[in-house]
Amino acid sequence: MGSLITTMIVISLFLVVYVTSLPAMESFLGNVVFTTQKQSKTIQEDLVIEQVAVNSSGAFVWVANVGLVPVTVTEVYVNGQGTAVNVPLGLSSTVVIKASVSGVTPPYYVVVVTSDGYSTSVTWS
Amino acid sequence: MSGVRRRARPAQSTVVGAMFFIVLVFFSLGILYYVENNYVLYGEATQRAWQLQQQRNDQRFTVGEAYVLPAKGGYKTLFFVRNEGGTPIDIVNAYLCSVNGGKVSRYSTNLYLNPGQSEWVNLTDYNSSFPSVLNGDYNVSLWTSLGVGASTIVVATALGAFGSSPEGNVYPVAGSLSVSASKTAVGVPSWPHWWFRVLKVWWLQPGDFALAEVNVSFTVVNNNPYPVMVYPNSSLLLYWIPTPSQLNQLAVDASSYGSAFYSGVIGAALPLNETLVVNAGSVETVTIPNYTIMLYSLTWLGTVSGKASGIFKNHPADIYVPIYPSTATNYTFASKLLLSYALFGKTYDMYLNNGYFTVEISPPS
Repeated sequence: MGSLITTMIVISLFLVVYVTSLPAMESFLGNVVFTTQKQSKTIQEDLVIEQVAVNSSGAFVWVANVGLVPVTVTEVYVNGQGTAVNVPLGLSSTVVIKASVSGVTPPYYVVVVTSDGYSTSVTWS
Repeated sequence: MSGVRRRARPAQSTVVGAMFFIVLVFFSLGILYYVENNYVLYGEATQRAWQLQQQRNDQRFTVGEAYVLPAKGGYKTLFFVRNEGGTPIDIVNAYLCSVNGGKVSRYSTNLYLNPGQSEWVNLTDYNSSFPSVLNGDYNVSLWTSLGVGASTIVVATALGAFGSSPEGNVYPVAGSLSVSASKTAVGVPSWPHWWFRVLKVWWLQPGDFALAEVNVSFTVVNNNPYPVMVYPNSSLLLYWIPTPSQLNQLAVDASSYGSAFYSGVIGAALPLNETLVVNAGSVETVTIPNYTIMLYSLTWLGTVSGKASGIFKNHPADIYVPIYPSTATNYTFASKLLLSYALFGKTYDMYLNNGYFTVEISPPS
């Protein structure tokens, strides 16, 4: 009888510890899953800025998806001037993205950012 | 106490504890599997990305030269591309960009090159519209499907003396043509005209012809850094420019003799024995003296003097003119030379125009 009581006490203590640490455990597992899945996607993303042209109409950036997954371009920066966009880019496709700029002069430092946080940049002189 | 030992039964605590630990083990294994599976997927993604990067690192190509050349009906934009890497490449995008960066023309291409292979690429094969951005120095960049690029700049100041095209960056194969009559042509009767000779009345009858000799000279100027091959099948074209009276005579003759076939163009292959090579930056002149052309008077479809109908219809003359009058007559021609030449392994046609020259044709004495 004593052993049973002892066992129940151990189980109860475990349940107390488990319930107490459950949020932390869920957070840990969630981080692991989120991080790995996000990293899996991000590591397969690859963009290349093939051409940049800046004229009075704005900046035009030709971006090609040379990665393994489709991406969505959400931000373009030209010499620090950012333009929010929403341009889906399928596999092996190329798009030209127009960004609003004013007063920029060469060389142009162009950064393209995707919805997953992947970014690529080029300095165009 | 009995001397018989009873088999020990597990205590309730043992059962509960064992069940608890079994549940705990399965719970822990589930979490481990879940986490491990995520790491496996991450590892696979990393592996694919790494392999892609390896392929990308193996790709290497260069754009050697870039030219814009005049061609029939427009221009051709040529780029020399060589795959210098260890894997095949597929070039999918090409850009022409003015050096000031303001204007860009993009072409979707599908060029595959094996390792070591090189090729001249004509961008206008992919898009017939000539880019309007090429009014000065421009940059050309080519990209593979894996995002590996190469580029070069074509400088407009590299143009030769004939680089006066408004498009700029043009390396034209220029030239000039000169054609003149070397002597007066004499008509040759195709059958005896003795009765006219007796009557001292001369004129050439349908079916008579004349041989005219002209001097042809043309010059080819090659402004390109590569040789130009002028093929022997280049053609000399002569256009008869009839006077109003000759046109009227042509109509009268055609009516009198039941109409006939008429052509105002002489097309003949120039007697070039072999391919003419014009080296880079060189000028070559070719002179062909006493080049003979045959003029043929109108034939008829009826019967005259026992001649069968249409007997001259297939006569291999160069040009068909009205019935010759009884006196010497001038015939005016415009000349043009169609040069067929090769540059960078591509074939082009170029016309060289000349002015007018006159051939005097006299009846036989």
